Amino acid sequence: MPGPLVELRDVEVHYSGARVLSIPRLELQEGEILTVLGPNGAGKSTLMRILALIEEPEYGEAFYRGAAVPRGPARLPIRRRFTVIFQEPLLADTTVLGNVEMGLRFRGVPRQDRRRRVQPWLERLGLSSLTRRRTSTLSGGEAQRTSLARAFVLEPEVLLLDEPFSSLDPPAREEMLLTLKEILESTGTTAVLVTHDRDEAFLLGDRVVALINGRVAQVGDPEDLRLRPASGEVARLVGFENLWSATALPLRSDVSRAEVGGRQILLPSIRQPGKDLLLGVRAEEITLLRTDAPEAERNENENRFQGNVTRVIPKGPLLWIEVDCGFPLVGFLSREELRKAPIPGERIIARFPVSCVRCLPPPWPENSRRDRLNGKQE
Amino acid sequence: MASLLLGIPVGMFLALNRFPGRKLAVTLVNTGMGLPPVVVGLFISIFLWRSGPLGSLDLLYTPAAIFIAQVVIAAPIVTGLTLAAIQQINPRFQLQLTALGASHFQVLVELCRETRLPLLAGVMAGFGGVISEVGASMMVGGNLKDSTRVLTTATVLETSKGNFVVAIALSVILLFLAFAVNLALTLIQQKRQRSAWPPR
Repeated sequence: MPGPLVELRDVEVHYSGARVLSIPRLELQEGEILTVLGPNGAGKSTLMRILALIEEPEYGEAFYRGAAVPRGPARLPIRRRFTVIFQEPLLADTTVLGNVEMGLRFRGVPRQDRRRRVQPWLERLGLSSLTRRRTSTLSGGEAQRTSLARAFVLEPEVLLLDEPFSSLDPPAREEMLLTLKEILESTGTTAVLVTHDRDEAFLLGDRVVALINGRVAQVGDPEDLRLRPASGEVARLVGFENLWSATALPLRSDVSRAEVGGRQILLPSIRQPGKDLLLGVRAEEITLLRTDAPEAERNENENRFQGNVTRVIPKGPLLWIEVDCGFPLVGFLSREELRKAPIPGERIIARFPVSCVRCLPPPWPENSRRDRLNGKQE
Repeated sequence: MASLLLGIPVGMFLALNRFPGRKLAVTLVNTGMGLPPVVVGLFISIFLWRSGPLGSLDLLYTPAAIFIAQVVIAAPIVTGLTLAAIQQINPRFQLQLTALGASHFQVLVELCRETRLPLLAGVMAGFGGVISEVGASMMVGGNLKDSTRVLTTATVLETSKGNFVVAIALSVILLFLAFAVNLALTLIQQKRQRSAWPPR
């Protein structure tokens, strides 16, 4: 296997005394799309600037095709194989054409060649009729497409995207995501997408990096992170809506159990030593039933709780339902499933297979402890 | 012109760099924007006085002395307005230029291009300061006929002689000059705004 295209080793960055990034090792393979998923303030943008070679790390080094990237002006030739698309389009105050050919101009490409290379990208991104328009008159979507064209016309070896679509409204954003995916696939460009949106990260990424508090908490393919988060922190990041702090109970007839908010939950097995546990269940794995629904047969391998509905929030075709079972629980219901949406205060039954319960290793997100306290009080 | 060559780079440097003493430097520049020409004249006279530190250069009462005074008056204005213009650009724009492969110098050129309107305002203000200035020119130039008598100092002289016809003629020339230069600059500045209208 060829070596990585870009590699970071022992990179550390501090801002005013605080460590914002610490990456012992991170590799970017040629042709892959790597997405960096992290909450706000995790150091995503800093990591992106270092990978883009536009910021030099305080400690550690970046390697390009196995060779250390020089510091100072000597890195310009390598830097020019990379480019970045930022959250805001950041267009220069000139025409669309002037912006799209800007990078080529920096590289000293003659005017005739610039026009020739720019044309296909203007067409592909639907900007042909706008070439002479000043950027101050563009809509948000047009501006972002201009910024996309400006990057792709450089035919970069590595394209970095820093939350590129978070300023667009949802339909424009989906449209841009699909356009981007298609272009990346057809050009085989190596790309790094930084985002806090897990759907975006899972949709585009061949591999996903979970970045939390400046550390790489987990790297893997999207399914890996989605289904097998390495820790409580990652579980929260990839969308485990239910995270419960629990206390392990002694084994009884070979079945592991734990106590959450005064109720007992059956576990597949305790992989975690110690009494304090963090349990995770995805909301879509929980089946919610009305109390008057026909009783399904009781299953040994199933957890089953009754509780009161506390909140109902419509989410697309689904209803997001929060239930108090002695501990807070969240599940989805499709609108068709119930002729009438449940109302807060209504009794409801929650069922989920024992195999869906995951014991998550530390580090845990900070507020999982609060969940437990809330649960116990109620 | 010399004020531009000095003022724009210094303004950019102050806008783009963070260093200890920067706040003091910016304050000095801002004070300099309101520098009374008479004070400048006084200090330059002292420096260039035959017994002063630069007296050996024999510059007092020469066109060169006026030139120095004008630079000292206009440079802070240009610097201050450049500083303000560059600082109002989104700092991420600079990052974007770098990410598109611009060298350090290319980034600076693009930033100037991006702020061309406020920079022109700086040029106009600097020009306005220079063309209207009397005190310093009088003091360091000496208002010598055919050598350091400029339009403003000549106007002062003719007025004090009661020679209003000549004074008015000089004033008209002065006004016309100011008008012509500012008209040219304004045309450049406003050309673009029309084409961008209506804004969306």
